Amino acid sequence: MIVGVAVESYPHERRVALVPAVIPALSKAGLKVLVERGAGEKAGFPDAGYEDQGATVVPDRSQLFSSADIILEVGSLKSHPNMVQNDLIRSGQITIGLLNPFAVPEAVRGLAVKGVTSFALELLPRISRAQAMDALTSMATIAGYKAVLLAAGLLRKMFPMMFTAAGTITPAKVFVVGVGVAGLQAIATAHRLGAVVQAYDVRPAVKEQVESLGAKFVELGMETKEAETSGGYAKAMDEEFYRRQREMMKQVVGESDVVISTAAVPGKKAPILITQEMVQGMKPGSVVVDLAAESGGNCELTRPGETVEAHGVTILGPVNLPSTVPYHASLMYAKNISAFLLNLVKDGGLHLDFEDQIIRDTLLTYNGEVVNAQMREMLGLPALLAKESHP
Amino acid sequence: MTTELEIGLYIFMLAGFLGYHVITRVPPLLHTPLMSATNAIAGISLVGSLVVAGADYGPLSTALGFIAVTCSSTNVVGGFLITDRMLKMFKTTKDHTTQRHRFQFNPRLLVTGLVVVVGLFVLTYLSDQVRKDVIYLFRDVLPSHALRYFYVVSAALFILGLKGLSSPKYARKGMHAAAVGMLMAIVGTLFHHEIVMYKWIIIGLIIGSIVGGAMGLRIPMTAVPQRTALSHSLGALAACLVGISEYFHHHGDLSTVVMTPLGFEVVIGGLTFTGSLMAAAKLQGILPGHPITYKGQNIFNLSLLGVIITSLIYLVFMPPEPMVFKLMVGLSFVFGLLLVIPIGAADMPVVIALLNSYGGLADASMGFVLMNKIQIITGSLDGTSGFLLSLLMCRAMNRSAINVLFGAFGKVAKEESGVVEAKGTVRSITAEEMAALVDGIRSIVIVPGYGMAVAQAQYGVAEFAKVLMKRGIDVKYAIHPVAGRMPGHMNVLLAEANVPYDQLYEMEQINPYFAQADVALVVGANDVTNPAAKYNKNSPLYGMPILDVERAKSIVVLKRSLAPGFSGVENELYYNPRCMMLFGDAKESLNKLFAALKS
Repeated sequence: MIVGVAVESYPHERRVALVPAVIPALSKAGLKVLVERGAGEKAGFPDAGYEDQGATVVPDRSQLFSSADIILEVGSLKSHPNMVQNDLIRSGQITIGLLNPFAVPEAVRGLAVKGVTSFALELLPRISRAQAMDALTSMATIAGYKAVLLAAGLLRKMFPMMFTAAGTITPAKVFVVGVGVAGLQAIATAHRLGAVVQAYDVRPAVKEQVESLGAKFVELGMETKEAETSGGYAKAMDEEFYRRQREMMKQVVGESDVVISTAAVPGKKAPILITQEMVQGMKPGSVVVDLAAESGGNCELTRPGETVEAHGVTILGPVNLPSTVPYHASLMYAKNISAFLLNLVKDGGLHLDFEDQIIRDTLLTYNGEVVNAQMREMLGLPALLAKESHP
Repeated sequence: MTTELEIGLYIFMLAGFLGYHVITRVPPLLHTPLMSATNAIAGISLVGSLVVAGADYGPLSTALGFIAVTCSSTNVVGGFLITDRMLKMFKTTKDHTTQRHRFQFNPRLLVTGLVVVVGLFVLTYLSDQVRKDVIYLFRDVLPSHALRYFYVVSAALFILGLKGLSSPKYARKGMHAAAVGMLMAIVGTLFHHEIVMYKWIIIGLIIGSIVGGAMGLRIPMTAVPQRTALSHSLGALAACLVGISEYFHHHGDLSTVVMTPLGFEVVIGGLTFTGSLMAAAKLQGILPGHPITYKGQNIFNLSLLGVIITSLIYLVFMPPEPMVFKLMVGLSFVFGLLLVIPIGAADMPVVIALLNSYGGLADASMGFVLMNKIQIITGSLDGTSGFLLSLLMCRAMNRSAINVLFGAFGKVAKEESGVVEAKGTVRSITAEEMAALVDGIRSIVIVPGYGMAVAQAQYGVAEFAKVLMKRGIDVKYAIHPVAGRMPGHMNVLLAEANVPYDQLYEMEQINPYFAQADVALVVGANDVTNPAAKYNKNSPLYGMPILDVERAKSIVVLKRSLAPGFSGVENELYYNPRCMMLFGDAKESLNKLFAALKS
C-alpha cells in the first residue's frame, strides 16, 4: 500500500497530514510513503526530513495521485473541491481526513459517485481505543490555546494580577462559553496566564472538569443532563431554552474582559449565545473570540474569518486556528492519522474490518455509495439496509 | 435507683469515653493486636465466673461457673499470649539488639503466676493449719483492706495497657502492664468472701490455661481472626452462663435494678456466643464464606429480636417466670446464628469487631449484676473499642456499617443479574501503613489521573514527591496520553505545582521502567491502568495502550471508591494481590500520608 501526502490545496492552510517522525512506524507496518514536493514546507518539515525517514518525495501532484492508494490531506472537502473535480482522485482510491462532510453534502456525493472510499475523522466514535486517532480533539486543543493568545494580544489589559509600586493591576476576567476540549484548553491557558477564569456549559457534568483546572463554573440554574449526547458531545436544544440562557448570561458577559465561545454542535449551525445586546453591555476594549465562527458563530456579530469592531468591542471569528500553529498541529494530526492508518491496514494491505466500530463509524463512502446514515438522510437518499452497509 | 447503680453507670459512661479517646489513638497498624488485647482484658469476666464457681450456690451454679471459669481463663491466657506474639513482630531490628539483654516482663509469667497461685491453693488444701492461717489472712484481713484496691490498680493498668497500643514502641510494655493488672484482679478475686470451694476453680483455671496457652502459642498468625472470634464466643458464653446461674441462684426473684442488666448480659452473651462461633466457622472455612440469605431474612430477624426484647421487658417487670427466661436465652442463641449467617467472609472483620463490642457490653452488664466495678470498666472499654474498630473497618472498606450488616440482599440481587464478577478481594491500606511502605523504597512512579485534577491534589502530590526525593527516593511521573479530560490536562496541573518537566515521562518511556519500580502510586487514574485493555477482547478498553502499572513491585491506588472510570469498566488492577487501595479524597489522603511520614 502506498500512502500519498498531498500539498494542502486550501488557501492559507499551513498544516501537513504526515510528519517525518511517524513514517518509520508506517513503514514497519508495510506502508510506503510518497510526499508531494513541499508538502511540509509551511509547517516546518522540509522534504529532506521526509526522505531521511524513508519517504519518497515526488515532484508533481498528478504523479502522487496516480501512484498512491491512500491520499492524505488535512483540510476539509470544502477546502479542496477540485479534489473531486479535477479527476486526480481515482476510483478505488482511499482518502482520510477531517472532511467536514456535513458542511458539503454534495461533495460527499461526488466522492461516492467517483467510487472513492473515504473516511471522515469527525465521525470517530468517542471510545477509549479511538482516543489516539481523535484529530478533532487535537485540533480543538490547539484552537483553545491559540484563542486565548489572540485575545490576550488584542486586549488593552494584561492578564495577571500584580501589586506594584505603580499601583495594583487587576486581573483580566475571562469567560469561556462551551466547555469541550477547546474550552478546557482555553480555560487552562487563560488560567496559566493569570486571568480570573469563569466558564459555562449546558452539560452539568463539566462543572467538575472546569473546577479541576482552577476556574469557576458559572451556574445559570438551568443546566440539564439532556444536553449531552451519549457520545459526550453537546446536543442542540430548543430556541426557548437558548433564550432563557441568553438572559442570564448577559450579566456574566458584561463583566468579562474576554469572552471565548466554543459551543459548536456537530453537523449543525452553532447556537447564538452572545447577542448584540450582550456585546453592547461589555466594557469598551473587551474582546470576543468566537471559535464557532466556521459553523455560523456563537456571537450574533461574528463574521467568519474577519475581525469586527462593534460597540467598542473587538469580535474575532477566526477560521482554521490550528493552521496558525502548523508545526505542532501537523505533529498531532500526523500521530492521529497514523494511528488510524495502522488500525486500517494489516500486513501491508487494506483490512476493512466492519466489526470494528472505528472503521464502521468513520466510513463515509464505499463502493460507489454514501454509507453514513446521517449523511444519506441529508442527501435525501433512502436508508441502506443493514446488510449493504456492512459489505 | 440505688446509689450503687448510679456509681456503676457513671463508671460505665466515663470508661466508655476514656476508651474512645485511648482507642482513637491506636494506629490501624495495631488494630489486630488491639482486638486480641481487649479480648484478653475482656477475660476479666473470669472474676465474676470465679465467684460463681467458688460460691456454694448449688450444683447448677457451680457447673455453669466452672465452664465460665474455663472459658474466661482460656481467653485471658490465650489473648495475652497472642497479643504479645503479634506485637513482637512489630519490633524493628534495632530494638531487637538493644533490648535483648534487658529484663523484660514476659506474659508467660502470667501463666507461671497462675500456676503458682493454683499451687498455693493446692497446698492450702493439704495443710489444714496453713489453710487456717491463710484463710484468716485472706478472708478477714485482705478483703477488708488491700483487696478492693487491687481492682483499682488493675483498672489503671488496663487503661495504661490500651494507651500503650497507640505506638508499636510501647505496645508490648503496655500489654505486660495489663497482664499484671489481670493477674492482680484474679488473685484478688480468689479471696472474695463468697468463695468457699476452690476445687472447680482450680480445675477450670488449669484447663483454661492449657487450652489458652496452646492456642496463644501454637496458632498460626493467619488464623488469628478465627481465634479472636472463637475467644469472643468463649467470653460471651462465660458471661451468659454466669447470668443464667445468677438467675437460678435467686430463683428469678430479682429486683428490677438487677434483672435489667442480667437480662442484657444473658441476651447479648448468648447472641455473641453463637454469632462468634458462626464467624469463626466461616473464617476457618468450615461453613461457606459467601453470604447465606433467604427471603424475608431481615424481617424475620427483626421480629425475632422483637420477641427477645419483649420477653426481656416482661422478665424485668413481671413476676419471675423461668419459662420466659429460658425462651429468651434460647432465642438469643438462635438470633446470634441468624445475625451472622447472611454476612460474607470478606466482611467478617467488621462483624468480629462488632461482636467484640457486644462481648464487652455483656461483660459490663455482668459487672452491673455482680456490682463489680472492674468488670464495668473493662466491659465498657471493650465495648467502645469494638464499636470504634468496626466503624473504622467499615470506613477502610469504604462501606457503611448498615451496608455490611444488612447488605447481603443487594449483593444477592447483583450476583443474579450477572453484572458483578468477583475477581478476588480488594485490599485497602491506610495512610499510616502507606507511610511505612514508602519508608524502605528506592523508587516510586506516580501515575496521576483525572481524580487528581478533581481533588486538586497536584500540590499534595508535588509536596509528597519532594519529601521522598529528600530521602533519596527516585521519583518519576508516568503520564498517559489520555489521562484527564483534555489533552495535556496533567501537564497543566503538575506544572502549576512546579513539578520539574524532567520528572514527567510519557507512556512509551516509562512502561519498561515499571518492573523496576518499588511502588507505583496511582493518584486518581483508572482506565489508563486497566490491564484488561491488553487481553480482554470484550472490554471497551481493549486495544488501548495502558501504563504497565501492574508490573511494579507494589501498587498503591488513591481513589474515592471502587467506582469505574470514564469507560464504565471495572478495573482489574484493584484485584491484583500486589495492589492496595487507599480510599478517600486524594488530597486528604495525601495530607494524612504527609502527617504519617513526618511522625
